[in-house]
Amino acid sequence: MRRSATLPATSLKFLWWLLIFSPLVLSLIAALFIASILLLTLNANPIEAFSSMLEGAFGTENATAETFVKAIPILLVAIGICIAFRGGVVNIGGEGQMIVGAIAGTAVALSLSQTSGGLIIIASLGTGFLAGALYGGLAGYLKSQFGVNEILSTIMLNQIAVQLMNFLLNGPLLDPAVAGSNNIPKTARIVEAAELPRLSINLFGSAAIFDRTRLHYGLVLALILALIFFVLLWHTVLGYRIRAVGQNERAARYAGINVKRQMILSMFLAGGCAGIAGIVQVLGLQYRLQTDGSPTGFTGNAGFNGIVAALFGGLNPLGAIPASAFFGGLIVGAQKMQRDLGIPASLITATNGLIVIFVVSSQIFAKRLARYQITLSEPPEVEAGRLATPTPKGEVL
Amino acid sequence: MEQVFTASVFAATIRLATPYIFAGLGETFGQRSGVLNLGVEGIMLMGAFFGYYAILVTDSLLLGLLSAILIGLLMGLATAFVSVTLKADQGISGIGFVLFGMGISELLFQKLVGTPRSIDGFSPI
Repeated sequence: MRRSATLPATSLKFLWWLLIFSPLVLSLIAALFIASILLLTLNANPIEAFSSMLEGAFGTENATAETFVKAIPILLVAIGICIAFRGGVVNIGGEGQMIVGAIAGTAVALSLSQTSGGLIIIASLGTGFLAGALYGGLAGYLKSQFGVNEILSTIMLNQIAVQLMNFLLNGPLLDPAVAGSNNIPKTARIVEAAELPRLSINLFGSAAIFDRTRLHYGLVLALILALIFFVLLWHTVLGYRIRAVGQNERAARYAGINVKRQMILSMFLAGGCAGIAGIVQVLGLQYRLQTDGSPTGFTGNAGFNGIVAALFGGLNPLGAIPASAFFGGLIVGAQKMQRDLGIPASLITATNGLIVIFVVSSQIFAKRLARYQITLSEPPEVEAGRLATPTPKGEVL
Repeated sequence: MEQVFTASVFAATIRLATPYIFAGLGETFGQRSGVLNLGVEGIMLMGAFFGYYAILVTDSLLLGLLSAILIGLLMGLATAFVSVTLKADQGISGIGFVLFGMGISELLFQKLVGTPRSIDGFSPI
């Protein structure tokens, strides 16, 4: 039964990775397949649609930059979702935490307009993180102290954040310049010193790329945070505790881990990442907080798409990087598809939903595979010439 | 204060409560059986679109109601399959169903209907 004897170790490892990621790939293929059927029923050629999407997402320098611009908030939220889900807390509150982070950070940026540039940015980002973190931590606290279902509380906290934003943008935070008119509710513009600089990349002395696009330093920030939280989750005691609680709460408690504290902490960090996503949208892109009054008016659904990207990245902050770029590309590409073929871009919302459903549904197969792998790699022990109780194939050991 | 307790406010209360009553009733069934159905929002959107579209095409309120029920049943069946048979995480898959319903209803509305057209709904009680 031992396959490892016939296969070199490296290819076995490769196969193992393939098995882990195959549910993700299969989920994507299944979702795109259903999207193709939808396209066919709407009299559109799926190949044409997808190639138009690909061109719209990565076809030109500007398109690629826009893809990354869309990917930044998704990635930041996704990093937080990785921590929360790894800690066994289902955080659906990315939207609300983004909004709260943006509100607090913008308020700080507006009130510090006399301070020097770097300081405003740091203070504003820090406030955004803290506000989102406290908002997320609130749900974690309610769960750990009173057993409040964090799924329900975070969804409700989303609504509260949206209404708080609508209230503040129509009152205390409203731009004095547009007060009384029927403009979109928005805050005053932040000072130039508080803006995150635009990003242009010089590779090996070549001409600068992305120098005339909207791509900003939020991308660098997001990549650094992904790395930090990857190290935190897999190479620190804190990360080990968080993952232990997520894997098995009772076992973690018997091992002496303060389960309640880890729950609050993982929600705190998750909320903080989403809060940064919110304030980065303001400092890097919009330069003011504005909304059309709907829940997604400010966030652009990044709070939910972050969940999709985190799941698709295998709940690993580093895996979330390509996943976020992919979903950013889907969003930008869908706009080109809408222009070219007249297929509404909301097709992507539906596809994202399907991907979520398929990924979580396929986890049962991934678990079965993992069990099967265990039975394969650990043959029954032979002690004193007699076989230990034989374990049926595919059962838990 | 007297203006709050008028017949029209009372009628509006019931009118606005109607979607909550239906959604809450459905959710009760799910939760009693141990399934936390977070996809209600998506299912409602799907039911709303397909019901509306059926009425637009057939001009029959009954057919619209039936197609809304049918699509709701199918979505519920899918939810059950994912949550019960495949044992998927209900909180996360629910979000998937919300996104799916949101996307499909918006997509089909923009593609098949375009500009909103009003239909003759139920007559006032």
